[in-house]
Amino acid sequence: MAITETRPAAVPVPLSTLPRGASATVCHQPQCCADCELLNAMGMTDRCKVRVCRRGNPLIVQVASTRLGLSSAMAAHIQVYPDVSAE
Amino acid sequence: MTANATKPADAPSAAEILPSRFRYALLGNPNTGKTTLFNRLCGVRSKTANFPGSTVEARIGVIPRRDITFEIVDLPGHYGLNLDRPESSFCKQFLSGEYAHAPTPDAVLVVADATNLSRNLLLVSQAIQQGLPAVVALNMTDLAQRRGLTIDTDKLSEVIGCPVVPISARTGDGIDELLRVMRTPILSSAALPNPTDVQETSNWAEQIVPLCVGGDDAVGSANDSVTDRLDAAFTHPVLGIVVFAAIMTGLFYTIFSLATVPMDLIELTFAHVGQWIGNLLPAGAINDMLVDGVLAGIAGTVVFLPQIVLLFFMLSVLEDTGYLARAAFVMDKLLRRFGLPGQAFVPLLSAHACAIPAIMSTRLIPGHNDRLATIFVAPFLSCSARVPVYVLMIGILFTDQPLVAGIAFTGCYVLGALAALVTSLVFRRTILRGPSTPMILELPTYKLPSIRTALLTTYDRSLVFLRKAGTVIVAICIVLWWMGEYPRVDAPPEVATMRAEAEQLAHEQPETAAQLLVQADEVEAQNAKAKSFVGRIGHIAEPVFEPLGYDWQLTVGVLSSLLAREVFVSTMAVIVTGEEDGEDEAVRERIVAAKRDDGGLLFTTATSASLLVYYVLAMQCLPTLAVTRRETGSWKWAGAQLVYMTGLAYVLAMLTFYVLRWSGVS
Ligand SMILES: Nc1nc2c(ncn2[C@@H]2O[C@H](COP(=O)(O)OP(=O)(O)OP(=O)(O)O)[C@@H](O)[C@H]2O)c(=O)[nH]1
Ligand SMILES: [Mg+2]
Repeated sequence: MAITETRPAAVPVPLSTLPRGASATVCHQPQCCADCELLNAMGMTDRCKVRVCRRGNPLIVQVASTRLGLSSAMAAHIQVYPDVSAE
Repeated sequence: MTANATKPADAPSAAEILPSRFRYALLGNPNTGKTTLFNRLCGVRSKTANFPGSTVEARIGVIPRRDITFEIVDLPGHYGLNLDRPESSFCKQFLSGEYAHAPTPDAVLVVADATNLSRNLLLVSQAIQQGLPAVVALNMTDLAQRRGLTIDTDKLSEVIGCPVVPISARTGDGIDELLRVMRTPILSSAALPNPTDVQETSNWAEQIVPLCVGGDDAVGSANDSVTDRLDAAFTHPVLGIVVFAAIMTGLFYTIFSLATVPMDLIELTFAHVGQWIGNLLPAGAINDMLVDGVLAGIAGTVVFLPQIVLLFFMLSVLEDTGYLARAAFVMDKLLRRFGLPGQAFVPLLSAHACAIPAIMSTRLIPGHNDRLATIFVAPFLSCSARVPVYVLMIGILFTDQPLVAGIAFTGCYVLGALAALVTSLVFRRTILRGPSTPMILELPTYKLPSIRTALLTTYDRSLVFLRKAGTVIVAICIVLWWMGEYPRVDAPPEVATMRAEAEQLAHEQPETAAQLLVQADEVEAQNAKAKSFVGRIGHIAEPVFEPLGYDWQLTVGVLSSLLAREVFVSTMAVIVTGEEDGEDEAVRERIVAAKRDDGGLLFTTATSASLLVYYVLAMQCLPTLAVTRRETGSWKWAGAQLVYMTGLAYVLAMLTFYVLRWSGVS
């Protein structure tokens, strides 16, 4: 996926804090969480786009055409840059 | 979409001359349609194979062609060959030939989802770098087309250095072409990213996708609003649970109501076959063994086949729609309170048919302790083998009170589920401590279920079940039958007296005479039972079960069903009447009226309630213990399961008995 120009130069926030419907760009630090490798392999790679489909615990995010159910504890470890345009 | 697959001109072909049997490993991400493709290619020419020493189950099938036979192994779906997960490491070993119990495949058939190419390319690039010639099947092209995606397979094939065939496993499009291309898999010599570097690979994939895919592949495609709305309902904290409860109630209602007709038919058939064999062979030990041992054993198991068939069919349909993943999502919160992960939900659900497939399906649970806890508690859930015992006991407890009986039936299921949850809670706080793995669960897109897949899955599962009935259970029944029949003893003198009396009365009072003869038979059978190995064991073990309110006859019933619960009903029938077939109404009445040696009623209210509690909780199933051992890799867990479950059953059954007695119920 191409990186869109909506990426703001703001500080990253945890994925778990995004409101429903918000889009964001993932910013992975290597080994950010125990299942980092798996998340990567499931499509949630560095700089990929995510959209929050459901908030709460567990939450649902969409990455490309994959929907992932994540516990909020895990989402708290994933840093994202929220899209300004989507908010 | 390009119609034909192409093969890069300069790439070396690995198989100019194919051997007569060519082995393909079927590899791909979860939910890419591997099994659907496998079923389309192999149909019923397949079998489930357990790979020894691994926690993985895969299906092997064959495709006979004119000049060649393809052998296909449907490997479990996974997200990458280098991940620290059981499926991943198994697939890696399998491809590299390090796995000792199966030959190295000759080539790999990678299934990729055309609607999610960027993610699927990660595994594709890893798979074609395993040193094996490969073919890529680009599946779900029907969906991709509907979403307006166009994929240039020639271009993709050129970039990855392997043939790429667009197919739809669902509709069958492209399958002939795939079979043609499968004759010439190619070992890729293209420049590919380092397979161990996920980031590099995903960067590579992101560069390729725009080259090969046209149309809308961005976040927020047309389908999303429907999926969003369905997800909002199915995963809603309140509505989600309501929908879930409704679906499960419907599921069980259908199983129990639809299954009764075929179950009655099966019982009837076996009764006839038994009679037929009984008349055909000369009376004697062989005849008895065949009819009372082998046939009774098979009948007692096969009777549950309709329920199992229905359960697996409906589970497969539900899974295919994508709903089950949402149910697991909803249940995650509840199960997690008790220390179980959401993924435990499907195994625990299928444990209501039989704990064996349930324990096998815990392989999908990633965390080690999570998986152990699920295996440990799964047999608490009321499997269909308990149903005959419930029917008998509840029938005795609540005669002519159908509503209360229904509630009691539900109560048994609830008691089992509660025991499972509480046990898990206790274990996760003590010996299985440690963080439970946080949930990462892919929620597949909603799809119309494939009846073909459901039928094949059901067929496969039923065969596994029947194989168990044909082996373990028959063996148990033969041994039990033998221990119940031997050593043979002479009839007590009173039997001869009764028979002589009957002979005298034969002319004047034929009815009384007939009654006397029946009584004589019963006394003889009871005496033989009491003096048999089983009876002797019953008398020895009686003190153990006395606190639960059981006499020696019930003790024999419990002991004989140690290996398989459903045996209890037929054992009781044999003991109290000297006649097989506890399902027969008249026999059931006689069980209800059976007496103890002291003349009191055998099944008092307190005893029946205590038996019911005992059978809900006790681990009375050898095959389950064997599967626990295999899945956990040690007898330790199987032993713990036996001791814990039966111990809990014993204590709670005793409590039930005494509380009822103290409160004046005898
Ligand atoms: N529309 C469409 N649906 C498909 C196609 N192939 C498979 N499906 C559906 O995709 C879903 C997943 O298919 P499976 O065959 O179970 O996928 P799998 O790769 O075996 O999944 P795992 O065994 O979990 O790894 C099912 O609902 C199928 O009916 C296809 O070509 N087109
Ligand atoms: Mg599959």
